[in-house]
Amino acid sequence: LTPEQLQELRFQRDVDDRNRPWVDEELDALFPPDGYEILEPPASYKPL
Amino acid sequence: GRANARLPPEVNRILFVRNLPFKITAEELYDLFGRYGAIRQIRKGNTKDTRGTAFVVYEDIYDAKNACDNLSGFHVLDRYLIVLYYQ
Repeated sequence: LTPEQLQELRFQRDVDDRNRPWVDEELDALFPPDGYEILEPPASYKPL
Repeated sequence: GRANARLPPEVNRILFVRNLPFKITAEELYDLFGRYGAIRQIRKGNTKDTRGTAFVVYEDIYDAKNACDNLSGFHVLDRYLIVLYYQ
């Protein structure tokens, strides 16, 4: 591996790590327990 | 975009939004933030203290960064949005 490839690999691993999906319980743990409601996605919502 | 510049540590997928119009709807929030990428979840403040704020969770960190960069100071119904990375 060239240094550039190594850097790219390390960089990609960082992004993948920071993009690891959350399960609902993990999300619940991140937020204040009250004062907020989880919104239902509108029927018209189409994720990009 | 997928710039390969290293992402600063404070950048993450959860945005904390302040100064939202109190009566903004789920449709409007999903429309406004959904333009920047797939949304994992939105939590809207529903008490006296949390009204006008929301947490917007993106699936992808670049989408969150793009939204934060573009929506900070965005003008919604005579209010300027404050968009921060949630720590």
